[in-house]
Amino acid sequence: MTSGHEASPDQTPSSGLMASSGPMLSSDLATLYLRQREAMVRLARLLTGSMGAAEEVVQEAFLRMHQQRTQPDNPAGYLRTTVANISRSHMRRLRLERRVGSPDRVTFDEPVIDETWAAVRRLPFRQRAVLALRFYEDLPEAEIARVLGCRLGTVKSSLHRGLAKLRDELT
Amino acid sequence: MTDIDSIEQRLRRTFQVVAEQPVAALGDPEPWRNNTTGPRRRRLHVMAGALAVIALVVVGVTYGPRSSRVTPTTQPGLGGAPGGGLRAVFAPTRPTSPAVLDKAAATMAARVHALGDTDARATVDGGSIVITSSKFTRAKLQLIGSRGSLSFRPVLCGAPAPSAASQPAGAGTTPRARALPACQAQYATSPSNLDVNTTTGQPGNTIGPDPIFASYPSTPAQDDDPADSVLLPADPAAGAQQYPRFVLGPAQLSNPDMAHVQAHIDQNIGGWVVDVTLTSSGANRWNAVALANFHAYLAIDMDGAVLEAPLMEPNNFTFTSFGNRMEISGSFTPTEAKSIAAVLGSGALPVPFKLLSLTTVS
Repeated sequence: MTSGHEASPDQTPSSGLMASSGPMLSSDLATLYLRQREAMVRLARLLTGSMGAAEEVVQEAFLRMHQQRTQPDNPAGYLRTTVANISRSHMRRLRLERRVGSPDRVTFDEPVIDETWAAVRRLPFRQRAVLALRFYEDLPEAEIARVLGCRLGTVKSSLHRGLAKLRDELT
Repeated sequence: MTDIDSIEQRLRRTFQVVAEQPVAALGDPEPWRNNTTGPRRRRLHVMAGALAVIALVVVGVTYGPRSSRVTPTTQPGLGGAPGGGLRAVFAPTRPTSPAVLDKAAATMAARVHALGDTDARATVDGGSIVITSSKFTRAKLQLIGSRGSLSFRPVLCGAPAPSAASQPAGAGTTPRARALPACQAQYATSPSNLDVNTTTGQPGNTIGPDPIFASYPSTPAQDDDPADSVLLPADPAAGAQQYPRFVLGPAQLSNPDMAHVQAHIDQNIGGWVVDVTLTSSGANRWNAVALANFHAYLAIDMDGAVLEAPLMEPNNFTFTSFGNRMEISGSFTPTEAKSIAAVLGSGALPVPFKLLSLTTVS
């Protein structure tokens, strides 16, 4: 599976609530927002490595969905992809502004967690994203490839490299 | 444990702690608009079409490990003690025979195992149950002691918050629940009164709470008898609901009707859900209940509080059968969905328990 959600507008329609074609109704978007906002904020925290930026990323993702002229076939999947894309550009912007090691350094009362999280935050975006989608969201590798819009092989190698780097640093 | 295993474990726990710090409360439900803030939409929804097995979606249940309900002595969300373990002592809230206590311990042990700690033990000690685990977080241990009783009850009418006069005189002197009067006709949340608009999926009429119930105290959780009508509060942890309290008919569906409960990712809604498979008699009863309450509110009673009271199939003109499955969805984290499934899947505890102490042991 190589295509991202936005690249495959004619995939099999998902069943249920939001399978209708045509413009995204704001009531559908409201439902999606109520259901998915918190989950997306949690994911964005892991993707951006920042507690503060996560809320903005998710807000922007919903704004973009609202501006869509046509309704995606799988709004929830599309939303996840959008959150990943915006998180990535957020990271790029940070790098350009040389603000790596963003201000909100948070500690979690447990040295093991703090140490692991710090190491995760030093990973390149793709490796961190693959690890988060694999070990937090428990997504299968093929689905991770779809969300990130990359090849299955890239997911596998990112997973391998990310884990190897963490093992090096942490053990 | 190999290196790979331990780094994966560590990563999972780290992600969980970081991601699941509390998310700021929902403000404007439609932030891309700048006008009104409407009420949260909540409804049971048929997922008709391709996925025949998925029957029911409850929108907006925010049901976490309910530490607020158990005891204030601990901070939820902290990880288990590294190296050592946690020891939780639960006591029944009313006198209990040893046989019932053993049964409760077995249920708690099943929950502990379902949540992935096969080394943990649940033992009866004196009149209490002691659970020791080296893997669990405090929030998880607290959840294991929750009653876990879930039932579906028709909403007869809404009720206002209790007036001062109806409050118990002092702590510990819970009055016997007074027999409840019938709802007054104009306040009944019947399909004809609500007059649901299938286009908007909302009631055409706003039915206020029946003021007569202001002088009645809520039914205490331990008296939540499935065979009786009850007056239950909306669960504060689940966010604002259409009424502060609900007058509910007898339970129509409860734990024994659930054959199998499992947490998984629903690819259609893109989030973690709890999937409930009903027994065959449960499935028949569920269809009858859903049909009888078509275009009315059906309440989900969890341990004596209303988690949610969604409208049944508000967008359908005619009733559509649910089949033998239902899906409970909310903004669940993976951990929450798995915990709920473990608690519901192992059945309700025979009596309510309260957490006496939660200590770190080495």
